[in-house]
Amino acid sequence: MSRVTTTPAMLLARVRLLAPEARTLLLSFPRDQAGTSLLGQRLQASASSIVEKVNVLDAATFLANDGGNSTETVSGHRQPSAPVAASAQVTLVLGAGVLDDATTLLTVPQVDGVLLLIEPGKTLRDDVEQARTEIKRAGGRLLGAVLQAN
Amino acid sequence: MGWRPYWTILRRRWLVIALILALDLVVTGFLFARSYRHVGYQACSSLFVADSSAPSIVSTSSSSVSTAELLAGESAANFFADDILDVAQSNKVADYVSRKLSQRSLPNASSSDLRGSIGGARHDRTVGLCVSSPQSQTAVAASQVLVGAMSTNRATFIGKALARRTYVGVISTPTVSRVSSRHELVNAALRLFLGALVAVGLALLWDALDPRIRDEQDVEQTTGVPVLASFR
Repeated sequence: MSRVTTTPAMLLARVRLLAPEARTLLLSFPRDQAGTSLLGQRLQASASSIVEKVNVLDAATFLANDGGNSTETVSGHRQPSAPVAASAQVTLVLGAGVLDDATTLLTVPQVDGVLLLIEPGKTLRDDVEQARTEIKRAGGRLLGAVLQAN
Repeated sequence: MGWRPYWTILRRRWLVIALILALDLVVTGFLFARSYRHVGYQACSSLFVADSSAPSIVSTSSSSVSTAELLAGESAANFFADDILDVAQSNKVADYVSRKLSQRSLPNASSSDLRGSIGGARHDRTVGLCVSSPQSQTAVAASQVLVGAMSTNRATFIGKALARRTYVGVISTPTVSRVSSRHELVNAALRLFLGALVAVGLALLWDALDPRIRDEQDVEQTTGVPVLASFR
Protein backbone atom coordinates (compact mmCIF):
# COMPACT_ATOMS: atom_id res chain seq x y z
CA MET A 1 0.00 0.00 0.00
CA SER A 2 1.18 3.53 -0.73
CA ARG A 3 2.85 5.25 2.15
CA VAL A 4 1.25 8.52 1.09
CA THR A 5 -2.10 8.95 2.73
CA THR A 6 -4.85 11.21 1.53
CA THR A 7 -7.03 13.58 3.44
CA PRO A 8 -10.78 13.12 3.26
CA ALA A 9 -11.06 16.52 1.64
CA MET A 10 -8.72 15.42 -1.16
CA LEU A 11 -10.88 12.38 -1.76
CA LEU A 12 -13.98 14.47 -2.19
CA ALA A 13 -12.09 16.87 -4.43
CA ARG A 14 -11.00 14.02 -6.71
CA VAL A 15 -14.53 12.67 -6.82
CA ARG A 16 -15.83 16.10 -7.81
CA LEU A 17 -13.25 16.28 -10.59
CA LEU A 18 -14.23 12.82 -11.87
CA ALA A 19 -17.96 13.32 -11.56
CA PRO A 20 -18.86 16.98 -11.00
CA GLU A 21 -22.54 16.14 -11.00
CA ALA A 22 -22.33 13.48 -8.31
CA ARG A 23 -24.33 14.30 -5.20
CA THR A 24 -24.80 10.90 -3.68
CA LEU A 25 -21.96 8.46 -3.24
CA LEU A 26 -22.06 4.90 -1.98
CA LEU A 27 -19.07 3.78 0.09
CA SER A 28 -18.82 0.08 0.64
CA PHE A 29 -16.38 -2.79 0.96
CA PRO A 30 -17.03 -5.76 -1.32
CA ARG A 31 -17.85 -7.83 1.76
CA ASP A 32 -19.23 -6.60 5.04
CA GLN A 33 -16.41 -5.46 7.31
CA ALA A 34 -15.70 -2.78 9.84
CA GLY A 35 -14.29 0.59 8.86
CA THR A 36 -16.96 2.08 6.65
CA SER A 37 -18.64 4.19 9.31
CA LEU A 38 -15.32 5.53 10.57
CA LEU A 39 -14.39 6.70 7.11
CA GLY A 40 -17.80 8.26 6.71
CA GLN A 41 -17.33 10.21 9.92
CA ARG A 42 -13.90 11.44 8.83
CA LEU A 43 -15.28 12.57 5.51
CA GLN A 44 -18.16 14.33 7.19
CA ALA A 45 -15.87 16.10 9.64
CA SER A 46 -13.21 17.35 7.30
CA ALA A 47 -14.89 18.00 3.98
CA SER A 48 -16.14 21.49 4.77
CA SER A 49 -13.56 23.09 2.48
CA ILE A 50 -14.94 21.21 -0.48
CA VAL A 51 -18.64 21.11 0.13
CA GLU A 52 -20.93 23.02 2.42
CA LYS A 53 -22.31 19.97 4.06
CA VAL A 54 -21.78 16.22 3.93
CA ASN A 55 -24.61 13.97 4.98
CA VAL A 56 -23.78 10.44 6.09
CA LEU A 57 -26.48 7.81 5.96
CA ASP A 58 -26.64 4.06 6.00
CA ALA A 59 -28.07 2.31 2.94
CA ALA A 60 -31.42 1.41 4.48
CA THR A 61 -32.09 4.97 5.63
CA PHE A 62 -31.08 6.34 2.25
CA LEU A 63 -33.44 4.03 0.40
CA ALA A 64 -36.25 4.81 2.80
CA ASN A 65 -35.77 8.56 2.58
CA ASP A 66 -34.62 8.76 -1.04
CA GLY A 67 -31.93 11.27 -0.03
CA GLY A 68 -30.50 11.86 -3.52
CA ASN A 69 -30.80 15.07 -5.49
CA SER A 70 -31.16 13.37 -8.82
CA THR A 71 -34.33 13.66 -10.85
CA GLU A 72 -36.31 10.80 -12.22
CA THR A 73 -36.83 10.60 -15.94
CA VAL A 74 -39.85 9.26 -17.77
CA SER A 75 -38.23 5.88 -18.27
CA GLY A 76 -37.60 5.61 -14.57
CA HIS A 77 -33.84 5.94 -14.74
CA ARG A 78 -32.31 8.55 -12.56
CA GLN A 79 -30.46 11.43 -14.10
CA PRO A 80 -27.88 13.43 -12.17
CA SER A 81 -28.55 17.06 -11.42
CA ALA A 82 -26.76 19.80 -13.32
CA PRO A 83 -23.29 20.65 -12.01
CA VAL A 84 -23.44 23.09 -9.12
CA ALA A 85 -21.00 25.25 -7.24
CA ALA A 86 -18.58 23.89 -4.70
CA SER A 87 -20.94 24.72 -1.86
CA ALA A 88 -23.34 21.94 -2.76
CA GLN A 89 -24.34 19.21 -0.42
CA VAL A 90 -23.04 15.67 -0.75
CA THR A 91 -24.67 12.59 0.67
CA LEU A 92 -22.49 9.66 1.60
CA VAL A 93 -24.29 6.35 1.81
CA LEU A 94 -22.44 3.76 3.86
CA GLY A 95 -22.95 0.23 2.59
CA ALA A 96 -22.55 -3.06 4.42
CA GLY A 97 -20.93 -5.03 1.65
CA VAL A 98 -21.97 -4.95 -2.00
CA LEU A 99 -21.81 -8.76 -2.17
CA ASP A 100 -23.28 -9.47 1.27
CA ASP A 101 -26.05 -6.94 1.81
CA ALA A 102 -29.09 -6.74 -0.45
CA THR A 103 -29.91 -3.21 0.73
CA THR A 104 -26.48 -2.01 -0.29
CA LEU A 105 -26.86 -3.61 -3.71
CA LEU A 106 -30.26 -1.99 -4.17
CA THR A 107 -28.67 1.36 -3.37
CA VAL A 108 -26.18 1.06 -6.24
CA PRO A 109 -28.48 2.27 -9.05
CA GLN A 110 -29.93 4.96 -6.78
CA VAL A 111 -26.67 6.83 -6.22
CA ASP A 112 -24.57 8.91 -8.59
CA GLY A 113 -21.40 6.95 -8.01
CA VAL A 114 -19.87 4.11 -6.03
CA LEU A 115 -16.56 4.20 -4.19
CA LEU A 116 -15.28 0.71 -3.47
CA LEU A 117 -13.43 0.41 -0.19
CA ILE A 118 -10.52 -2.02 -0.18
CA GLU A 119 -8.25 -3.09 2.63
CA PRO A 120 -4.86 -4.17 1.22
CA GLY A 121 -3.74 -7.50 2.58
CA LYS A 122 -7.25 -8.49 3.56
CA THR A 123 -9.72 -7.92 0.72
CA LEU A 124 -9.73 -10.78 -1.78
CA ARG A 125 -9.10 -10.06 -5.42
CA ASP A 126 -12.01 -12.26 -6.46
CA ASP A 127 -14.36 -10.28 -4.21
CA VAL A 128 -13.25 -7.00 -5.79
CA GLU A 129 -13.81 -8.37 -9.30
CA GLN A 130 -17.19 -9.76 -8.35
CA ALA A 131 -18.20 -6.46 -6.70
CA ARG A 132 -17.24 -4.56 -9.84
CA THR A 133 -19.37 -6.93 -11.91
CA GLU A 134 -22.34 -6.59 -9.56
CA ILE A 135 -22.14 -2.79 -9.58
CA LYS A 136 -22.06 -2.76 -13.36
CA ARG A 137 -24.91 -5.27 -13.57
CA ALA A 138 -27.00 -3.16 -11.18
CA GLY A 139 -26.54 -0.13 -13.40
CA GLY A 140 -24.25 1.70 -11.04
CA ARG A 141 -21.15 3.73 -11.79
CA LEU A 142 -17.90 2.73 -10.11
CA LEU A 143 -15.97 5.97 -9.75
CA GLY A 144 -12.89 4.66 -8.03
CA ALA A 145 -11.37 2.76 -5.15
CA VAL A 146 -10.39 3.88 -1.68
CA LEU A 147 -7.71 1.96 0.18
CA GLN A 148 -8.16 1.70 3.88
CA ALA A 149 -5.65 -0.01 6.15
CA ASN A 150 -6.71 -0.87 9.68
CA MET B 1 8.56 -5.40 -16.86
CA GLY B 2 11.89 -4.66 -15.18
CA TRP B 3 13.25 -5.77 -11.87
CA ARG B 4 11.33 -3.29 -9.69
CA PRO B 5 8.15 -5.37 -9.35
CA TYR B 6 10.22 -8.36 -8.26
CA TRP B 7 12.08 -6.23 -5.75
CA THR B 8 8.72 -5.02 -4.38
CA ILE B 9 7.58 -8.62 -4.02
CA LEU B 10 10.76 -9.62 -2.22
CA ARG B 11 10.38 -6.70 0.19
CA ARG B 12 6.79 -7.65 0.85
CA ARG B 13 7.66 -11.31 1.54
CA TRP B 14 10.82 -10.59 3.51
CA LEU B 15 9.70 -12.74 6.41
CA VAL B 16 9.44 -15.89 4.29
CA ILE B 17 12.89 -15.23 2.83
CA ALA B 18 14.41 -14.54 6.24
CA LEU B 19 12.99 -17.73 7.77
CA ILE B 20 14.25 -19.95 4.95
CA LEU B 21 17.67 -18.31 4.91
CA ALA B 22 17.94 -18.71 8.68
CA LEU B 23 17.04 -22.40 8.42
CA ASP B 24 19.52 -22.82 5.56
CA LEU B 25 22.23 -21.13 7.61
CA VAL B 26 21.64 -23.40 10.59
CA VAL B 27 21.60 -26.60 8.54
CA THR B 28 24.63 -25.58 6.46
CA GLY B 29 26.54 -24.62 9.57
CA PHE B 30 25.73 -27.93 11.24
CA LEU B 31 26.70 -29.99 8.19
CA PHE B 32 29.86 -27.97 7.64
CA ALA B 33 30.93 -28.36 11.25
CA ARG B 34 30.26 -32.08 11.13
CA SER B 35 32.21 -32.64 7.93
CA TYR B 36 35.02 -30.27 8.85
CA ARG B 37 35.84 -32.38 11.87
CA HIS B 38 37.03 -35.16 9.58
CA VAL B 39 39.08 -33.02 7.26
CA GLY B 40 42.76 -33.88 7.20
CA TYR B 41 43.65 -37.35 5.98
CA GLN B 42 41.89 -40.17 4.24
CA ALA B 43 42.84 -43.84 4.29
CA CYS B 44 41.26 -45.98 1.58
CA SER B 45 41.17 -49.68 0.86
CA SER B 46 39.41 -51.96 -1.64
CA LEU B 47 37.41 -55.13 -1.11
CA PHE B 48 36.17 -57.72 -3.58
CA VAL B 49 32.69 -59.14 -2.97
CA ALA B 50 31.34 -62.33 -4.56
CA ASP B 51 28.39 -64.69 -4.20
CA SER B 52 30.05 -67.82 -2.86
CA SER B 53 27.15 -70.06 -3.89
CA ALA B 54 26.86 -68.93 -7.51
CA PRO B 55 29.00 -69.91 -10.50
CA SER B 56 31.37 -67.22 -11.66
CA ILE B 57 31.97 -66.00 -15.20
CA VAL B 58 35.66 -65.82 -14.42
CA SER B 59 36.17 -69.19 -12.78
CA THR B 60 33.73 -71.58 -14.43
CA SER B 61 34.62 -73.53 -17.54
CA SER B 62 31.70 -75.92 -17.52
CA SER B 63 29.28 -75.70 -20.42
CA SER B 64 26.47 -77.02 -18.24
CA VAL B 65 26.19 -73.66 -16.47
CA SER B 66 23.71 -71.41 -18.29
CA THR B 67 24.23 -67.75 -19.04
CA ALA B 68 21.24 -66.88 -16.88
CA GLU B 69 22.83 -68.62 -13.91
CA LEU B 70 26.09 -66.79 -14.45
CA LEU B 71 24.37 -63.42 -14.72
CA ALA B 72 22.24 -64.15 -11.67
CA GLY B 73 25.39 -64.82 -9.72
CA GLU B 74 26.97 -61.59 -10.92
CA SER B 75 23.85 -59.58 -10.03
CA ALA B 76 23.64 -61.14 -6.58
CA ALA B 77 27.26 -60.24 -5.94
CA ASN B 78 26.53 -56.62 -6.85
CA PHE B 79 23.70 -56.53 -4.32
CA PHE B 80 25.94 -58.08 -1.67
CA ALA B 81 28.58 -55.47 -2.41
CA ASP B 82 25.97 -52.73 -1.90
CA ASP B 83 25.08 -54.31 1.43
CA ILE B 84 28.72 -54.38 2.51
CA LEU B 85 29.07 -50.70 1.54
CA ASP B 86 25.93 -49.63 3.41
CA VAL B 87 26.82 -51.57 6.53
CA ALA B 88 30.37 -50.21 6.53
CA GLN B 89 29.00 -46.68 6.79
CA SER B 90 26.68 -47.45 9.69
CA ASN B 91 27.09 -46.20 13.27
CA LYS B 92 27.37 -49.78 14.51
CA VAL B 93 30.53 -50.34 12.49
CA ALA B 94 31.92 -46.95 13.49
CA ASP B 95 31.39 -47.82 17.17
CA TYR B 96 33.07 -51.19 16.62
CA VAL B 97 36.11 -49.56 15.02
CA SER B 98 36.26 -47.02 17.84
CA ARG B 99 36.22 -49.79 20.45
CA LYS B 100 39.06 -51.58 18.69
CA LEU B 101 41.11 -48.39 18.49
CA SER B 102 40.48 -47.35 22.08
CA GLN B 103 43.16 -49.75 23.31
CA ARG B 104 45.76 -47.94 21.19
CA SER B 105 44.98 -44.42 22.54
CA LEU B 106 44.90 -42.81 19.15
CA PRO B 107 43.67 -39.20 18.79
CA ASN B 108 40.22 -38.51 17.22
CA ALA B 109 39.27 -42.17 17.53
CA SER B 110 36.12 -41.87 19.62
CA SER B 111 32.71 -43.01 18.37
CA SER B 112 31.55 -39.45 17.75
CA ASP B 113 34.73 -38.79 15.72
CA LEU B 114 34.35 -41.88 13.56
CA ARG B 115 30.59 -41.68 12.96
CA GLY B 116 30.13 -40.02 9.61
CA SER B 117 33.80 -40.35 8.71
CA ILE B 118 33.45 -43.64 6.79
CA GLY B 119 32.54 -43.36 3.14
CA GLY B 120 32.89 -45.36 -0.02
CA ALA B 121 31.69 -46.38 -3.44
CA ARG B 122 30.97 -49.57 -5.36
CA HIS B 123 32.08 -50.39 -8.85
CA ASP B 124 30.72 -53.79 -9.98
CA ARG B 125 31.82 -56.11 -7.18
CA THR B 126 34.64 -53.90 -5.92
CA VAL B 127 33.89 -51.84 -2.83
CA GLY B 128 36.16 -48.92 -1.99
CA LEU B 129 36.05 -47.85 1.66
CA CYS B 130 37.67 -44.69 3.01
CA VAL B 131 38.06 -43.38 6.55
CA SER B 132 38.63 -39.65 7.12
CA SER B 133 40.37 -38.26 10.17
CA PRO B 134 42.38 -35.18 11.15
CA GLN B 135 45.21 -37.57 12.11
CA SER B 136 46.85 -39.80 9.49
CA GLN B 137 47.71 -42.59 11.91
CA THR B 138 44.11 -42.72 13.14
CA ALA B 139 42.83 -42.83 9.57
CA VAL B 140 45.14 -45.74 8.68
CA ALA B 141 44.42 -47.68 11.87
CA ALA B 142 40.65 -47.18 11.52
CA SER B 143 40.77 -48.29 7.90
CA GLN B 144 42.65 -51.46 8.85
CA VAL B 145 40.06 -52.31 11.50
CA LEU B 146 37.27 -51.51 9.05
CA VAL B 147 38.70 -53.85 6.43
CA GLY B 148 38.85 -56.62 9.02
CA ALA B 149 35.30 -55.89 10.15
CA MET B 150 33.91 -56.13 6.63
CA SER B 151 35.88 -59.18 5.60
CA THR B 152 36.72 -61.77 8.26
CA ASN B 153 34.33 -60.40 10.92
CA ARG B 154 31.47 -59.45 8.64
CA ALA B 155 29.10 -61.99 10.21
CA THR B 156 28.83 -59.66 13.24
CA PHE B 157 27.29 -56.96 11.06
CA ILE B 158 25.51 -58.66 8.17
CA GLY B 159 24.41 -61.86 9.91
CA LYS B 160 25.72 -65.41 9.67
CA ALA B 161 23.49 -66.44 6.77
CA LEU B 162 24.62 -63.59 4.53
CA ALA B 163 28.20 -63.99 5.69
CA ARG B 164 28.12 -67.64 4.55
CA ARG B 165 26.59 -66.63 1.22
CA THR B 166 29.24 -64.00 0.48
CA TYR B 167 32.92 -64.02 -0.18
CA VAL B 168 34.86 -60.84 0.70
CA GLY B 169 38.50 -60.52 -0.18
CA VAL B 170 40.91 -57.65 0.38
CA ILE B 171 42.25 -56.24 -2.88
CA SER B 172 44.33 -53.40 -1.44
CA THR B 173 45.34 -52.52 2.09
CA PRO B 174 44.78 -48.94 3.39
CA THR B 175 46.73 -46.14 1.72
CA VAL B 176 46.61 -42.68 3.23
CA SER B 177 46.38 -39.33 1.41
CA ARG B 178 45.85 -35.75 2.46
CA VAL B 179 42.40 -34.20 2.01
CA SER B 180 41.90 -30.45 1.72
CA SER B 181 39.04 -28.54 3.31
CA ARG B 182 38.18 -26.80 0.07
CA HIS B 183 35.58 -29.43 -0.76
CA GLU B 184 33.64 -28.72 2.45
CA LEU B 185 33.82 -24.97 1.87
CA VAL B 186 32.51 -25.32 -1.68
CA ASN B 187 29.72 -27.56 -0.42
CA ALA B 188 28.76 -25.02 2.22
CA ALA B 189 28.77 -22.17 -0.29
CA LEU B 190 26.62 -24.18 -2.69
CA ARG B 191 24.14 -25.01 0.05
CA LEU B 192 23.82 -21.33 1.01
CA PHE B 193 23.36 -20.30 -2.61
CA LEU B 194 20.72 -22.95 -3.25
CA GLY B 195 18.97 -21.98 -0.03
CA ALA B 196 18.83 -18.38 -1.20
CA LEU B 197 17.38 -19.50 -4.54
CA VAL B 198 14.73 -21.58 -2.78
CA ALA B 199 13.88 -18.64 -0.50
CA VAL B 200 13.45 -16.23 -3.39
CA GLY B 201 11.51 -18.75 -5.46
CA LEU B 202 9.18 -19.55 -2.59
CA ALA B 203 8.59 -15.85 -1.89
CA LEU B 204 7.68 -15.23 -5.53
CA LEU B 205 5.42 -18.27 -5.62
CA TRP B 206 3.73 -17.27 -2.36
CA ASP B 207 3.06 -13.80 -3.72
CA ALA B 208 1.69 -15.13 -7.00
CA LEU B 209 -0.69 -17.46 -5.18
CA ASP B 210 -1.84 -14.83 -2.66
CA PRO B 211 -5.52 -14.15 -3.41
CA ARG B 212 -5.62 -10.83 -1.55
CA ILE B 213 -5.28 -7.34 -2.94
CA ARG B 214 -1.77 -6.07 -2.29
CA ASP B 215 -1.39 -2.45 -3.33
CA GLU B 216 -2.70 0.36 -5.51
CA GLN B 217 -1.38 -1.16 -8.70
CA ASP B 218 -3.16 -4.41 -7.89
CA VAL B 219 -6.43 -2.52 -7.35
CA GLU B 220 -6.18 -0.61 -10.61
CA GLN B 221 -5.35 -3.78 -12.53
CA THR B 222 -8.27 -5.64 -10.97
CA THR B 223 -10.96 -2.97 -11.10
CA GLY B 224 -9.84 -0.79 -13.98
CA VAL B 225 -10.65 2.31 -11.94
CA PRO B 226 -8.23 4.69 -10.24
CA VAL B 227 -7.40 4.66 -6.55
CA LEU B 228 -8.74 7.99 -5.33
CA ALA B 229 -7.41 7.87 -1.79
CA SER B 230 -5.59 5.77 0.72
CA PHE B 231 -6.16 6.07 4.43
CA ARG B 232 -4.43 4.58 7.44
